[in-house]
Amino acid sequence: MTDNGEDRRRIRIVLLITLLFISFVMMGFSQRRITLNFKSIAYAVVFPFHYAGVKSIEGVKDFFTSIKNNRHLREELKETKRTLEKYERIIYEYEEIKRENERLRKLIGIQSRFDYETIIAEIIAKSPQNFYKTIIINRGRNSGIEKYMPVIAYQNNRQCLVGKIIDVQKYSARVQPIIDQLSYTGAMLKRSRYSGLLVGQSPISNYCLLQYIDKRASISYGDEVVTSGMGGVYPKGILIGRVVSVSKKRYGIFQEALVAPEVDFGKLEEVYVITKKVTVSE
Amino acid sequence: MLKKYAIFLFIIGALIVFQSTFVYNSITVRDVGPDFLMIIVVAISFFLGSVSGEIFGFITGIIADIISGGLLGLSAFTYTVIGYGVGLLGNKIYGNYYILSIFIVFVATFVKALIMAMLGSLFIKPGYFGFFTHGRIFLEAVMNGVISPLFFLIVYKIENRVTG
Repeated sequence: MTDNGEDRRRIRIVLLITLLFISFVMMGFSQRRITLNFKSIAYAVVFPFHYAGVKSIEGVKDFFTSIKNNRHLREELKETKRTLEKYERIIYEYEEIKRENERLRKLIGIQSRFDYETIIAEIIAKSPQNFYKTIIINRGRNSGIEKYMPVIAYQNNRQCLVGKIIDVQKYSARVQPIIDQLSYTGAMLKRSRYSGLLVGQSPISNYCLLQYIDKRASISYGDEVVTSGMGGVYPKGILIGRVVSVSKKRYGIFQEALVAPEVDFGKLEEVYVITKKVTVSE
Repeated sequence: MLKKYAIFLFIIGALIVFQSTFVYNSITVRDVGPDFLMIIVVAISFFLGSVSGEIFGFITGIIADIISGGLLGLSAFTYTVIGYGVGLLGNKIYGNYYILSIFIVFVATFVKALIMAMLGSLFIKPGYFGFFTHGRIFLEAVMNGVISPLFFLIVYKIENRVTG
């Protein structure tokens, strides 16, 4: 081999070792959260370009979709007006029932009921890797978003859990969904009230595994799983999903259940970040 | 030379953005989609050699890691190794590039999954090794393989046109 060829080979190997070493060091620091600020800074630099790119692609898609859907718009408008009238009547009735309910609660002295103050956010991007399932929303520190705030969504007219905020920038935040392998959620079976720990299974599957459930608990297919409120991140009682299978080992004191999340992460467009719990009645 | 690199960087940037939009979801099967980033790294490495391959692999991986919010350096490490390996192969394999591309990308997907699973087990959580053994990676490998000739064609055309 000539000197030139030998030099080139040496450069290749030195470069490889250097790049792998840098990657390895970053992984090490990343796990100790020392590079958290570096990651945030790096993402803050990349974010404007990423956001602009994502919006451009979605803009092009929306443009073609809107042309395609134009003919249906008139009919939809008429239908929407009819639906709106119907909902206006329902809201009026709801307000009446709410007032009556509050009055009755006061009369019989029921304890406080809680609701949540939320901020609506649009999902602007997701992880480009099949390996991760994180999503990015268009609300950040300037909207009052903080780390570990719970994130919910409304699907099929039901409030259900999406995940929690794990990283906040000024104009964006990153959400770790409950299906992520690093997500742990205090959960319980709504019917039997037995609690356990819900662990995400992605990228292996889009289901979650409810672990450490007392073996005495009777679990059936379709049982609803809700947040238990333990751990202090998620408020109690938010719907997570439904049991699809149960695994009971012969030995041991616990059983496990596979849970299908109520949220369809593929169709998720908007989410609500719970900023604080508010009392609506006393 | 610089113009060629700038074009490749632009393509990588566009692919990263595309892969992080929900438009990308429409081409997924059972929630698994092709990894355009890995395919472009493989194609660049094949035609430009291992030095360019490892540099492009590192840059692509680090940007993907930043946007993913996952373990910083995981994709960078993986794509660097793939870039280097495929770059070495590029000089030694002869035949129809487009047929070769299917085989190389198919194998590279498994190498990617293996490295990611091992590093994931080491730095994130032991269970991450499951990604390699699960059938989803086979599906991704097939998708990547099917799409790869298109990427090889694009990189080949750019390489030839800009170089000479």
